[in-house]
Amino acid sequence: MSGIVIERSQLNDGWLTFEVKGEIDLATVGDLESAIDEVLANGEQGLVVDLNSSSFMDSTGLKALVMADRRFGEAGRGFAVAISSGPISRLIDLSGVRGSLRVVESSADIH
Amino acid sequence: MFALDRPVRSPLQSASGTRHIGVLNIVTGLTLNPAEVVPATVPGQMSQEVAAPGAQTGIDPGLEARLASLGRLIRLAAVVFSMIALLGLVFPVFANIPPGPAVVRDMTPAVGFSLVALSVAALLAGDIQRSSRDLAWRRAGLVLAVLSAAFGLYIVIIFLGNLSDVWLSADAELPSFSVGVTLVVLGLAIPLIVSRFESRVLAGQVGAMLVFSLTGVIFLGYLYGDPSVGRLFLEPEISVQASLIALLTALGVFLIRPASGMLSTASNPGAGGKLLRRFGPVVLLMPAILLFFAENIPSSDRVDALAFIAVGLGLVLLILLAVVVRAIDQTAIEAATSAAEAERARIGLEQEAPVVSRLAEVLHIVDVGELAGWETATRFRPGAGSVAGDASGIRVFPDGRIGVALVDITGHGADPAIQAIQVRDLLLHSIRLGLTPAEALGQIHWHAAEEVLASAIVMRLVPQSGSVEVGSAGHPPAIHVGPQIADLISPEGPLLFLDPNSRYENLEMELAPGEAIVLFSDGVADVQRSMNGRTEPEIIADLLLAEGGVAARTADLVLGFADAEPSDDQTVVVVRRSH
Repeated sequence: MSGIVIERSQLNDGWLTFEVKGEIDLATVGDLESAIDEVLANGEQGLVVDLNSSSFMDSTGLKALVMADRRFGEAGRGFAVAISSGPISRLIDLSGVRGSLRVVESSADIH
Repeated sequence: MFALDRPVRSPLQSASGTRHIGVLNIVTGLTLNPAEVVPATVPGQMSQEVAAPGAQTGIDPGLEARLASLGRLIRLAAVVFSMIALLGLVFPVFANIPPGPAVVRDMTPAVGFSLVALSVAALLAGDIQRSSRDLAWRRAGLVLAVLSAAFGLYIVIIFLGNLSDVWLSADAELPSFSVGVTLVVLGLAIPLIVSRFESRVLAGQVGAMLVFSLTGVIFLGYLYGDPSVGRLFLEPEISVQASLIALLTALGVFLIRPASGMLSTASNPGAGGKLLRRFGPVVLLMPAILLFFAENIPSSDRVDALAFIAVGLGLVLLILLAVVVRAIDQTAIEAATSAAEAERARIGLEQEAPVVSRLAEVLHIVDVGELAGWETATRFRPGAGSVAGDASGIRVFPDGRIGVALVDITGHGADPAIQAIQVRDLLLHSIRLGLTPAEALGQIHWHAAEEVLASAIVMRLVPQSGSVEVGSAGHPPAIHVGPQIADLISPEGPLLFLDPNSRYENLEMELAPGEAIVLFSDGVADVQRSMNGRTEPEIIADLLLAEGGVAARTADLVLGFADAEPSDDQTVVVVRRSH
């Protein structure tokens, strides 16, 4: 089981981007959740989790994103998921979270 | 639901005995009291609590907070004192600055005090960054600190390079100005750098100890004056100013992270803590002890060197002690903590085993009796452990209809299992009350405080006619399979607990004799995984079309397709109209 790599980069207006590489599942979702927690504890205006470089995400990953969206929303900060197509996009469609999360094709579409 | 035959208490249970099982706060027309599942409180179990020795390694949180506040105040005092010095209150002193070594001789007091100002700015920036979330402030503070420390080290190297002159010649003069600036720069930069790295607190405090010790030597020189240690610092007024600043900042850094550094180590009740408490003061007093004896030795020309050697030896010993102490303590703590955790796990397993076993029994239920013309099959393979977030149920209701539900709660362990059972039973009960699958899914609302997410698929069948209604909440598609057909069925609808206003599609169809509906969880097949352009559910559909048969064979085929050592739970439910 391989881990995930999270590459951070700063966007304009205080937003941060996480480019996640690898498979997000029960074994790796903790890394993503920890990274999200760090952003929540800091002062960034918003976070976009870019999944275009990820190959797979199970329901635990989906839950991590949904819960992050709620917490960012409660804090009055922005949260989005970037995915253009592919397997994870199918999961997002199937699970119906596209209506609940802000989903963009790439992190460049945030503003 | 089921009843417990004896009190239980899990490792997650709080000291008060209240069990936080995270049961869903499901708001529906149906009532399900979580207390029926597991007793809310269980008395008489406190004696089995195992104390973690690791909890004793820190210092009292209240004292820690007070010491940290004191540390900040002392550092602030150092800054204020520096500013006073910069404002010129001590400026006349520099009128008689002796010339330093050639390398720094050209360095004017203005340059030196500019660097002091740099250090002060670094310290201020560092303190601000601790309370500020602005990334630019943090970076600026670190850059200033590194610049200050680099300059301090540069002077130290020069200083040490010329130290031999002192030892070789009783008349040599050392630049007290340079010494003072060095101490101030290091004294201010080290605390700032230390304050940035939680993991390097101990090393930083040892660095602060270096500054602290050097200041001690300077004070000794000031007190003794000529003819002993004071020879090193011919302008003690300058050195005293610098020493005060450095001493204050060094003291500040000791106190600012009391729970992470040497104070914490010294307060440790273990053997390492005792070692440090007993020998630490001796090490700290060693320079003074050596000086005392050195002063009584006729060859007093070597006193200066002895003082420095004593300080150096004391520091080295202290550093070694700190490292050894930490290693000893951590090893002991880790061993004790591991033992405590193992004991907790053993107690927890012993207590929970009957509950887990009972949970596993009720995760998947088939209650159809003799149902003429229909057959069912259920297969379950847990991802890890014995209980997880998948639950399924097939029931025949008094009106003759069949209700089928498969629920997958995200997560693993007892809590998701309980939640999955609750959701499944609520869905089946809704079907029993006459709701369609879509209406049943829409009845389950969420409580915002719960971090729960679930997929579910629900069916209502009329055995006599073969009519089937299906609703899905973000669940993998079902498969409608028969001798001539293998279609994916995927009614639209989002995951449960995502949005209280969610709406679900109610898909209606007919099952002909020989046809079946196959439900499975995403641990069996995932829409994300594909081969030769076919997703896993499509591949299963192809497989069933080619090799499917009675319900049991169909279920075995589907489970056989799935990973035999899964990380996620695998559930397969087959309902087939045999004739």
